[in-house]
Amino acid sequence: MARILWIEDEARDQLIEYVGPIMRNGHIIDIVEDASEGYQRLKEAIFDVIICDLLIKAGSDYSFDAQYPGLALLKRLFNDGNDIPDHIKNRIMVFTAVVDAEIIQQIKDLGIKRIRTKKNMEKTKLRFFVEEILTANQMN
Amino acid sequence: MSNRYKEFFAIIAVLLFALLISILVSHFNTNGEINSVDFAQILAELLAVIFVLPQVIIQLTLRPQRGDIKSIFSGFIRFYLFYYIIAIIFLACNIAGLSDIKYITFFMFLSALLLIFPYFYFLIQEYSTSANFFNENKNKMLKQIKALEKGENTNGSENNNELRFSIAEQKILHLIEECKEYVLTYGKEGNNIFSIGVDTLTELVETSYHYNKTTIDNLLIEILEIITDLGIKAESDNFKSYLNKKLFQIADSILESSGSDDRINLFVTKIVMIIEKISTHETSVISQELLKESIVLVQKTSRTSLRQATPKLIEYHLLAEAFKRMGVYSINKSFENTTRDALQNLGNLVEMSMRKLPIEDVPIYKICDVLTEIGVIASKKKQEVFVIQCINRIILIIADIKTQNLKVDINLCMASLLELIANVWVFFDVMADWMSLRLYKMSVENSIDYKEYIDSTKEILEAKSVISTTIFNDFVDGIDGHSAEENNH
Repeated sequence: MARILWIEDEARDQLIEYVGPIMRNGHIIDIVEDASEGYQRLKEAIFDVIICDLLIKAGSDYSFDAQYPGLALLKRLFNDGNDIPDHIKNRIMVFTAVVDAEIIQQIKDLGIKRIRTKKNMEKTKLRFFVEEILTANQMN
Repeated sequence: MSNRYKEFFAIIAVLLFALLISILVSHFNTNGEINSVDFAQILAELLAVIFVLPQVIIQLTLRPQRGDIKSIFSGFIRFYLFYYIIAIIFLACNIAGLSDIKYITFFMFLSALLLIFPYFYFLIQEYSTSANFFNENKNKMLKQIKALEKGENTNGSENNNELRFSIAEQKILHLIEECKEYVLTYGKEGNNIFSIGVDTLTELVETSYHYNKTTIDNLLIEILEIITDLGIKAESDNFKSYLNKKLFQIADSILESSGSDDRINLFVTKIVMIIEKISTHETSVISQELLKESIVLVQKTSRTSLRQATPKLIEYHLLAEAFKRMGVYSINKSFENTTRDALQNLGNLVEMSMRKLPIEDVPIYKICDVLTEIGVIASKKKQEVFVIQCINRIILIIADIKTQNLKVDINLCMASLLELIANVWVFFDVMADWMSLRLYKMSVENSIDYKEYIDSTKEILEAKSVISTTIFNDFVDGIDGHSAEENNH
């Protein structure tokens, strides 16, 4: 059983079909819909896997009000005076429809290696990505 | 588009249609030349029939407004009178055999158009009379409440068992009841009576809260009861949703205010329970959307409270109870999204309160119990995914207690977990293998061996009920056999 945080504003409707397979695998998945709430939850609890979209709502904290609030959230996490160890960085996966090379590079520069695009994905694919992260982290 | 506007446009369309028919008919009758007499006659006959229509619509849809019935009717009567006078003139001219009556036709048509104005008049009147009614009542009530605050008219009595309202307080409650009845009777989709009424009542509660006096607090609790009834009886989800959002705004402003935690607790928990009640009441057909919104409102309330620099000490177990009821309702209605949301919020509530509250105020036992209850119901509905979620969430709580070395009686949490597992074991036996494996994993990953808690669980369940004990004993016998079987394999 793993604890997963999915920061995604469409996870409760358009992308709901990805949630079922993860839950059926016995994992606990928390969904938050905006960057502010995502940041708060990350401060409150420890998650084994963090899935983050880039094009989400900023939420109540105006500092996330950027072109890509998800990216603003990741930057805040990494630049907030937090020295985030690699094993935490390895828990993060960016799951987005954004394919802009410059943005992708910025994410990679933060040390996040896992970037997946949402395009034409089977509904069990997200579960597969989650398992991949969990296995890789167990081995480390 | 509101019904009133639809009616209005329908009449315009009918008028234009009548004009068109008249032109066409008179055109064909006279071989290419429009005969003004034919045209006038046809138009007049059509209008005579058609203008019964608005009268019928008015009669069918008119909702008499308090104190203004006369003025509204007088408006209509005036215009109809005008129309009938013109019609009589036309008929007189027609009988007299006047050859050219196009001016009369013009006046007929004009008078018909003038009939539209009562509609405008009615629209304005409907809004202003409702707004006036609520405003007048609100002012009366605030005046009475102010008098109560100053200590006037407080001849009611309070003791431990009985709460009797003074005459002034009863008057206020009577006015509130009147507002409620007005909203329920005249508030329909398409008019704004419901929203005006709800705004009035919620503004009254919000203003009166700041008086900070026990007598007024008791009165406010009673007013909130009336508002609950209004929410339950409201005819559509839109109305319920509007009321819930307004109630949430009150709870939010109370949480942001300073004052005693007891008083904040009293009103915030009351409002949360009202939102839950409105969203899960058995007599209403509730949509998943409304339930989802209500869960978010309770979630926001808990977060506003817990994320303050000094969190408010409210009864978080009541918030857990609200999530439970909404979760159970969702399971019974097979609303998967809201079931998941309710479970997530229960998990989040325990995590947030563990971080922010003194451990004795964290509703750990309550949330474990709630998860057990939801899990049992999910197992009876054969909703395996949610049974797994409940079991895993309790294990997560127990693991957190162990890791953080919290001063919590872990026996109580384990009793909740084992009670849930026992129920699922007995009533949803297809999950036996999964549960057996889960308990084994828990002993390996979290160093928690369920066997160590069997005796304490038995004691706790014996105090609870005979049925729970019997189910638990069956589980203990069953899992022993199951493990032996697995070992043999």
